[in-house]
Amino acid sequence: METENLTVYYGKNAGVRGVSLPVYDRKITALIGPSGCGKTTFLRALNRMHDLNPIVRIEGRVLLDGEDVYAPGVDPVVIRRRVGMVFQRPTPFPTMSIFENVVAGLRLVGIRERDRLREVAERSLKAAALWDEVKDRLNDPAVGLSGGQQQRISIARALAVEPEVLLMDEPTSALDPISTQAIEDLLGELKEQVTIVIVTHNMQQAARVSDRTAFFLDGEMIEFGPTERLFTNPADERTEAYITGRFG
Amino acid sequence: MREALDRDLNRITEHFLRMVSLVREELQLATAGLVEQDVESAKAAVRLDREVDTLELEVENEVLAAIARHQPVARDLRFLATVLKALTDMERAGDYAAHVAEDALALAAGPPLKKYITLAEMSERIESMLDLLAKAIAERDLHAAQQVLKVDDDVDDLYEQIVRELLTYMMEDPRTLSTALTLMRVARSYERLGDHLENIAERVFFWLTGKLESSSADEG
Repeated sequence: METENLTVYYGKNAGVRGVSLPVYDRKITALIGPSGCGKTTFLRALNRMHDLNPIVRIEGRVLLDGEDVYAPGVDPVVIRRRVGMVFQRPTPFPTMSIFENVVAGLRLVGIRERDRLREVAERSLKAAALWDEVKDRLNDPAVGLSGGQQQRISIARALAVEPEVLLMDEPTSALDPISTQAIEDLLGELKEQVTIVIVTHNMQQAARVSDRTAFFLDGEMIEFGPTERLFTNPADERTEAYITGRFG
Repeated sequence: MREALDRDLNRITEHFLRMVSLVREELQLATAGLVEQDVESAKAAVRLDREVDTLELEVENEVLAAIARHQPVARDLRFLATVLKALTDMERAGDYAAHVAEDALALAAGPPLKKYITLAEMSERIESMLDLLAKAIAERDLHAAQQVLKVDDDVDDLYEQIVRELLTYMMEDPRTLSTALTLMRVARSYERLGDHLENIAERVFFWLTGKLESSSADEG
């Protein structure tokens, strides 16, 4: 996946300006920057999450396997299946069981076979490192789980439809340190199967989990490079100022 | 990402231990070059020293990256600080082995002054210091680190013995002056090499216990 000169307008103002970012396959790309820098706006443009907002306009291209996800005739539902999203707060469907939460996406596309659903639920929960904790109570309500477990349910649900790319918007900011560590460890395992783009406020998290990091400021991408390099020897003074805590 | 930190720490440990074993090999070759007047061994030692230098830079980069990525604390932080400081000593240890090899090359051109028994013994003691150091690091073995310091005392005693011996040669027969002075430098290289290993052992002690025990009073 990659973006070419991507600009996102809110009305007349550009929240993201001219960003060209390569997203490497089966690697973790972290987007960092102070509040309001455009990183979340950018992330949501990658799978057309802005479509429902009438004041948002997109320029430039978002390429998935070489094809523009904004090209005429492309079905945003298909794009969101190929490019999944995990939000800041866990989003379990409140009336549904753990099992139904995980397979919700499959039901939406019309898969009904019980065996197939069970198989996918098990695989997804294992991939989300949650299987052992919930396998004996799959029919319990998902809202009864802890925050960290609920977030892993959200991840399992996103994985169930076998996306190629997983977008994560501050996936641990509502979690305690132990749950955060569980999610971070999980990311390292997930990247074997899926490309990950993660937005994080916490630049130490970006340093810990990602392979590549992009630093955003005022809607622009200031710097992009291997995480090790960016955190030991940033090329831009503004990146240095931000990661050393001089602003933001 | 505890797992990722452990992975990085393991890799750094592995690479540092590789440096230790390279210096050990370098030292053995240098000593063979000296004792057996084997020019090829001495040359191989000098070549190995370049590998040690390359590895030093590599490990340094790995340590900096690990600090930047994981913000380590407590024992993890002490370990990385230990490696960072020990790298310089290890690199210098390699340099001294290379100096021995270079002097061995010069000495191989003429007849040996005598059979180099005490110098070979110094080299053996230093090899055992390297083994103990590797054990201390790989197995977090405090006792092994402390033993390194003891063996270094033996190395220092052997050095004193060689210096007295060589002085006798020089006084008895001034024609031996040039060779004896070179041998004096060789002995000094071994002795310095041992001191650098002693520094590393003290750092390992700090890593494992959190206590800094300075022996600056008896550093030469």
